[in-house]
Amino acid sequence: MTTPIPVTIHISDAVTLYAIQTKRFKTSRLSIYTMMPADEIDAPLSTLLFGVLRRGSEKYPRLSLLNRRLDDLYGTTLTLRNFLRGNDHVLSFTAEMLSDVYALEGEHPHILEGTLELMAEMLLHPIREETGLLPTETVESEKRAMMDSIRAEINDTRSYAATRLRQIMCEGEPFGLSLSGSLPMMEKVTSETLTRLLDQRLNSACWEVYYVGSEHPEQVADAFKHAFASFAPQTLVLSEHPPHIPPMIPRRVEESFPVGQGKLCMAWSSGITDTISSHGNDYPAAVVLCELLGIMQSSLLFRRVREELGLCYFCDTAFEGKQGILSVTVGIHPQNRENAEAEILSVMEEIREGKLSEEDLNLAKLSLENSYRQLPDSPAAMESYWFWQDHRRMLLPTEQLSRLMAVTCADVVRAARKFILDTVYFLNATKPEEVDEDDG
Amino acid sequence: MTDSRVYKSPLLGEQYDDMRHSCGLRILVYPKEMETAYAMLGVGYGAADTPLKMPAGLPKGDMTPLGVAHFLEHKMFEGKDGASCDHRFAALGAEVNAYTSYDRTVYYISCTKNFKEALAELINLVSELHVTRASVSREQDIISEEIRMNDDSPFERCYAEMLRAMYHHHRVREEICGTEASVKKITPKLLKAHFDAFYCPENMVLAVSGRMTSQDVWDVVNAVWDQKCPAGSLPETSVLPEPAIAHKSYTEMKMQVAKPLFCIGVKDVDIPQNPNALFRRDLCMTILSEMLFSRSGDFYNDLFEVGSITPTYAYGTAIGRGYGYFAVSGEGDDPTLIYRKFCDYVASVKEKGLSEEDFERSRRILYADYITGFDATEDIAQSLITYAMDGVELFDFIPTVKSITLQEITQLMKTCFDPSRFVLSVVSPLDSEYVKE
Repeated sequence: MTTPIPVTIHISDAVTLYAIQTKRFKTSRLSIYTMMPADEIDAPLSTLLFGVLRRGSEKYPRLSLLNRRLDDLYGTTLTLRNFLRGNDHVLSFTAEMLSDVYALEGEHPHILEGTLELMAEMLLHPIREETGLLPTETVESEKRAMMDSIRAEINDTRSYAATRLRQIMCEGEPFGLSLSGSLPMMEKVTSETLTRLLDQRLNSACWEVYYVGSEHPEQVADAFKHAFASFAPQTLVLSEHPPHIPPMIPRRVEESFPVGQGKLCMAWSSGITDTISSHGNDYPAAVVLCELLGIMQSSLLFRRVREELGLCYFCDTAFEGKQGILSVTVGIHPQNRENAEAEILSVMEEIREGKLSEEDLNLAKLSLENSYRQLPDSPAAMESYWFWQDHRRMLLPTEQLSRLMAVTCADVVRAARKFILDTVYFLNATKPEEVDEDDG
Repeated sequence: MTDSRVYKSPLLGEQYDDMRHSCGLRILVYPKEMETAYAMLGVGYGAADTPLKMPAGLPKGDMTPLGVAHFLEHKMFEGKDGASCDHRFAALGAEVNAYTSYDRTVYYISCTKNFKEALAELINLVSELHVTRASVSREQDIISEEIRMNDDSPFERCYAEMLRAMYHHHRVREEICGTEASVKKITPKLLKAHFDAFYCPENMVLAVSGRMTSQDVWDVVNAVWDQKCPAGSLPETSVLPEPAIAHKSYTEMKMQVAKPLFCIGVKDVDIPQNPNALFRRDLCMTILSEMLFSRSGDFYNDLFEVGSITPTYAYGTAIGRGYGYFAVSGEGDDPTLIYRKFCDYVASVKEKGLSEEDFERSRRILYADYITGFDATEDIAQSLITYAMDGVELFDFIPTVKSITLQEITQLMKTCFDPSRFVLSVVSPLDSEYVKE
């Protein structure tokens, strides 16, 4: 396995570039991440702010002109993402673009430089009114769009249920906050509020830039410096937050919706995080536990809940390594709720009791090994790997994989015993059963 | 190896082999220096295929219950011992999965080691069907959950209802999974009959990409199928003639949504039967769709800037045996107003003509998309199998796109974009009183 290692270039005190030069792809990928401590007001407002910035700049004053410029850059795509990394709020702009080598004959489009120029335009040179404020009309329009998206969260019950689980479980903690805010909060936003936030976010935040593509790292750094010449934010040190503490008695929340399928979401907290200095071998063991529980092909929950009992079609499992939280979501008929919950708890309990076969452990390791070996094939996966690393001590994929491969059944059992049932959320489906017509 | 041929792309600096095994299986091998090897095995049998002949006592043609192809896809994963075959792939460190579309079922694997062994398992997977009454009954429960999950997705419902309104007869109007009622009618005997009819090597294509040679793949196919190659001859299937006009121009349903969703469809009925002509029409439709509905175009921006639609917006085309359409979907308070704007916009473009600049821009985007598709073995295997099963050659894309003219696109617009072929599908909130004017 030869996963390329990024070259680290400090563009300035607050901006670091991690560049991976590889000739493996015909495209390249560049992401600009900005991190701040998650705050219940600033996080949703920052999301709104980036929406406003995406609408136009001094040079490309309308959305259609921005999009047209992207089209001219051989259909470069620009994606805005908004998520939590532990207790930090992250906003990112990701550009995926064709390499110049594959431009049409006779053209020299300088796609990377053009894309960086466009990103800098949006972030640093938004349209402002004469007063220096962001345009009220655009702010109001984005507020409407954001409020629409808040209302539309119920459209997708699968992701809605997962979000509700996180919010209920971590209520009052940064990890439990809503990234899109609330309707009353949005109502109050003005262009003054957003302009102030823009200046604050540009002046003091932690910025990371990731590049995967054929260009030399120094060339990428130069292109970035050229496009972002006027960008000089202050360093912001992100503080550490303690991991989530489970309640004495598991929280149980049920909500009803007029849909056909219920969603049962269960979460366990462990205090086991990806911080290298603590927890010994527990973190890799927790990753292996999650893999064999619900991620790998033929996982324990897939076999037991779906294949043996026929209770669900999908069974999602995730481990949030910054918080030490393991979660399971299954889509079920409401009448199967008790059976599904009992079976999931039973699988967890059996692992805690040491009823775990070497064969299953090996299957989980094979699956993880396969994922790690695939890293060099995907710019997005490489970027994600490095972004989610503990930046105080970055481990190579080979080192991380070695830690996982060293996990024993006893390690998994020990880690499983630290996972305490924390929250159970059930999205109850109350839509009346339809009488299906005879359709042949 | 029979009918072996090498296709090369000077632009990409890459090539692939196209071979036909003596058992009838078509094999495509695209070497790629990547860690992940990807193999896809496609069966020319999908949700819209209904055999005209079946053994006595079994329903045939349009009487076939909906969802058999998809059900079969699920049950192919059951081993002789009744356990899921997933385990065999997991033991090799490989991932396996499958999907069913209207005209094919595709099984695929990916792995970074043990490729030959995993490929052998993939071929074994489609070679034999093991079903019992009990396992079919359990699968009915699982698929019912899948149907309920899909039924809860408002955009999927809106899109599906658009197709149901657009088509009078074609099975593209039905859900690929079928319905809870149709799935309950599926029996082991019915599954076996469809497996026997369609799962034969002449009706399959194997596409592989990664760090392997054609000989490697050939050896695996030889080893597995020289002894127990599934037999069978393809049954005749039917596609009922489809009127040019839409079945219904408007359809609406209520669901748990925050604001109304819409999906506007435009039916194309001049679907060529010749694979190359079909491919050309597919590309022309894609270019036209990009020219008319992209996020840099007037249609989207005019609606977005006045707040008539939200950023949740998509557009695209689809074409296959006996069906083809354009679709534009999104979210907005007044779908009727959006539809009216759509009709006005189309009429205005028809009158003013399409712009040369938009045409070149759309071709450029299509070109970049195509090149991007060679960055991952998964995408390459997917393209290989799609092109092969459609009867066209993967590297014909660039010359075909280059040969398409603005006049051709203009003609397509004139013939296709007739209001009698338009459909508006709306999903409105449960508590709304939205009604079409």
